[in-house]
Amino acid sequence: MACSPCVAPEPENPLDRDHRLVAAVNKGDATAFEELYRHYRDWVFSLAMRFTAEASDAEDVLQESFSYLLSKTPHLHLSGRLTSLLYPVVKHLAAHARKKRARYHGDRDALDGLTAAAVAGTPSRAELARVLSALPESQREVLLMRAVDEMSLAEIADALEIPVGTVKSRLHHALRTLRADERTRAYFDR
Amino acid sequence: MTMDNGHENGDDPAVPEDLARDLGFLVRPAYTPRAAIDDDILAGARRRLGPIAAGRRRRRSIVRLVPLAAAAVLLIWLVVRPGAVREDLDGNGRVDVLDAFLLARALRDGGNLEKAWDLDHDGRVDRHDVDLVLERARRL
Repeated sequence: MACSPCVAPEPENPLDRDHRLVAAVNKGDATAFEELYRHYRDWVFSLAMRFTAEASDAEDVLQESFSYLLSKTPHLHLSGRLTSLLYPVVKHLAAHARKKRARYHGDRDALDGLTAAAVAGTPSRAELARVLSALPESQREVLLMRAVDEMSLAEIADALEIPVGTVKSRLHHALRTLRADERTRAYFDR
Repeated sequence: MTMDNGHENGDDPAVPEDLARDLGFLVRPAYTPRAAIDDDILAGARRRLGPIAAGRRRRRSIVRLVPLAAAAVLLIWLVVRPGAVREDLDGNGRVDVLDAFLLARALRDGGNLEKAWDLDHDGRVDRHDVDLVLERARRL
């Protein structure tokens, strides 16, 4: 007979996991840091690539972002998930990397570089890329944070240091633009 | 319902799944960082966090010793606390010639002799006990 206590434990809430690991890191636990790193590495790199479009710059930003976290120990403090803390760090470091490289002319160029390979041979994604590029930067950023980074409205507000209402407003406007555009309307008709 | 920047409070605009998927395809890079980057970052973490962990272990060791140290201090205090020395007959915290003089005068005057003054434990308070006080005073 199956044992009644043998119930699979519920997966740990990401917020609880982040707080638990940060508490351990603050006590000098390198294994906990590695677990945090493995969990967020690809997201940080992906975000860095979104801002820089250069793999070597994105690797530098990745290293500097986690070095920044380490520099705060043993007093690293999380008010929410680690994404809210890391997002502005990555964005700031990426901006610095762009200035150093001195050939960046705005988010639009970085995004174009990044999406070119992704849309090859995919007409619908090519259209989406064009519509996305035409969005105001502030709306595009919030849309990507919500849809791709899966951050909550509160986490986005925290990361960008803007009110939640402003986040909602930008997201609404971005989605309304995509819905109104015939090239991307189909996403909303399904 | 109250409005906030033109949108109802609690209204979380939904992003269609297909749209989110395709946006992800657009902006997620096709490659991952080099393994050497991982090694560098994790090595840096061990360098930074090692001393923090070591410091905590040292503090825990010291904290464990505190009750022992407190017990030792208490024991020493109970043994050598001021006034607890048998030969300090006048209770002034010192063993000196005055204590010997006090005992000698008490013997001469034939007054009340305290049992505690039988310092050699021979059942009598006498000249030998005065000698013991003087000996102790000399050692100190």
